[in-house]
Amino acid sequence: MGDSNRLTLVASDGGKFVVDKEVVQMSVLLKNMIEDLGETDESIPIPNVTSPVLTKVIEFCENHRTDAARTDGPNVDGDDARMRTAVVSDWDRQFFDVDQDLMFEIIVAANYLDIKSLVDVGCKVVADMIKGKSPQEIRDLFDIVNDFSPEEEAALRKENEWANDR
Amino acid sequence: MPSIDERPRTKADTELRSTRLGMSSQKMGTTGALPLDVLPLILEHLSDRRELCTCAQLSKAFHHAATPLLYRTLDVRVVTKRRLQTAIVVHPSVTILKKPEYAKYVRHVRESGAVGLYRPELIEDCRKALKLYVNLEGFTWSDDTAEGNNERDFVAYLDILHTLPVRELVIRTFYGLSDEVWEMLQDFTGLSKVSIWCMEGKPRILQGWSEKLGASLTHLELGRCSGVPASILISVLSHLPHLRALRLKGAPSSAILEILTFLPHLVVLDTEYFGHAAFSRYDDVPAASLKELTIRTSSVHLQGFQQLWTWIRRLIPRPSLESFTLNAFSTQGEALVPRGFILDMASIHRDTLRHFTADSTQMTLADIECLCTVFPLLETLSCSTLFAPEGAHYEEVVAKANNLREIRMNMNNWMPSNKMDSAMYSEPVRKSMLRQGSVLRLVVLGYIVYQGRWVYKKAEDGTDQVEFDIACNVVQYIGNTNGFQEEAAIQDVTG
Repeated sequence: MGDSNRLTLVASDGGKFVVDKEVVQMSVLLKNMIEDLGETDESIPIPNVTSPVLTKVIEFCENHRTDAARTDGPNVDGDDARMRTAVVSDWDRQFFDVDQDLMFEIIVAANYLDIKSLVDVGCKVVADMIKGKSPQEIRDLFDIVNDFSPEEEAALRKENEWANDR
Repeated sequence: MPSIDERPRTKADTELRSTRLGMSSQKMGTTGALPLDVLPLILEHLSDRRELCTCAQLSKAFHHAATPLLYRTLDVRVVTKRRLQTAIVVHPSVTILKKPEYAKYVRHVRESGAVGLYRPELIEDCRKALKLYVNLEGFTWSDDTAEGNNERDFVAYLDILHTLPVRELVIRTFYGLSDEVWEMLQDFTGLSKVSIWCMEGKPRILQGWSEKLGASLTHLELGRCSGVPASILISVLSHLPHLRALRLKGAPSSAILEILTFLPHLVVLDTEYFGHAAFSRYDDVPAASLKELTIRTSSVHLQGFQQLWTWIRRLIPRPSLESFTLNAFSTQGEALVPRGFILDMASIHRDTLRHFTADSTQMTLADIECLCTVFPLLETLSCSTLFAPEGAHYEEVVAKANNLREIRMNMNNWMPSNKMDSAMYSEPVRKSMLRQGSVLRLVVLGYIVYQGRWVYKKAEDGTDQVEFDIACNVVQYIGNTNGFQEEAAIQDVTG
């Protein structure tokens, strides 16, 4: 290898990815791991992430490597922080324009690797898919089976009545 | 509470997916296609509790993930309608007393004087439930009755709150707080946020209390400072060196500059400007570097807002401001933002300002163009401008704003902008959104909202093509005998 600014990541299926250290360090998990290892030429195994998913994760990190500084400002107010991060950019939306399985695998991998910006954007995209839909529409969308009995469902409606504005 | 989705059909799917991800199936449980691990993180992005309510009834796994979020903030629902004999009060305490295991999730509670007014028999349950909120952080009391007859309920809540780890107190009442309540409040120490807005009664500006809150208070809102001498307000606030956000109504403008000289951590300020005696006795420079500034003011002077612009500039003497909001109303024609003010602001805050809001203030298209040019980081802009019936070149106004995502322009209120032809502006809007380097996606002209986005569309040969689509949302207000009726029609004007 020899290039101290680049690292090799090995996916669960053996796929190898040579990536800039700066990009790898967007993952808090890998950043800590690199700091513990010190200077090394050894490749880093990512046993929980497959090559197709790792390809997408690296694509995201490479695209977002420059905006880390912008989002790290102090958050004065919770509402304000939410407002500021409420916008999902066109690039991010297109990035997540993949089949549902891959989309969820990316989010799970980002959560495991501790890449906050990717978890945030991914979760926001899924949350936007939920917004404004009826329970049945959401069940159909994500293939969720209603495992409540009719009695349980009725009790649940009663229990959350205070929160149902209509 | 069962947390694992027990659907037999998906067990194999779960294992398959888990194997693919190299994770143990115990860790991975799914709810349909959604991974259980990250479900709470997804639900965190649902700010509307009705959405959380919907999610809680999807399946057992969803219920398990959504319930802690749904019960984080409790709110009483009071429905009063003319056709109803009496008001309907739906209070979460009924559920909490049946399911006390939910109480540990509760962080914020809003109680209302209306409960005591319409359903006094519920108060006992409300008190019992409040005692169970062992992780409570914030409490809001709101009461819009005029007499303050329900204050005894508030007193009872305050007694209970003493036993809980509450750090935020918000009070919204029509009547002024009694001396008894005020005395009880003074026993609360360690608070990080205090907000008191009462329409009537004595001004309550934390005299005697601020000393005890100095070590912890970071957010303060006082809705009734009018009549309080500047020196007293200054003295009270001088005990609160950790303040980061401050909102004052009725505070003498002459006090504001001085307050800023001893609050080094203050980043958010929302206050009023009164045209007279606005200058401080001191000629000192603020220690605070404000990031968000909101100024509310009105003027009856023929010359407009005397000294306002100089005063604002003195509040923010060094590069720091990210968001500026001005709510200015003038009885002498339209309030105008002077070009000189924009340029002076830019000379200091050019590299920080991202949001500019001056809805009630009129700007010319040339001013708006200037603003978009001298603040290169500008992301959102909201203002008023003159309606140009012959059509204006809106795309030129934002030609240099490469970070602008949203622009809202109120068309001058006496113009019939609800009769504006949405197709007339769709071409300039499209041009400005698609210009090289532009990130503009929302344009509001009067009542017309243009929202742009990239979408996949099927081409004639069946392949997917990416196209830019502008949805145009026309909202018309039609007056009738019952007031206003809103009619919305979505039409696709381009794409």
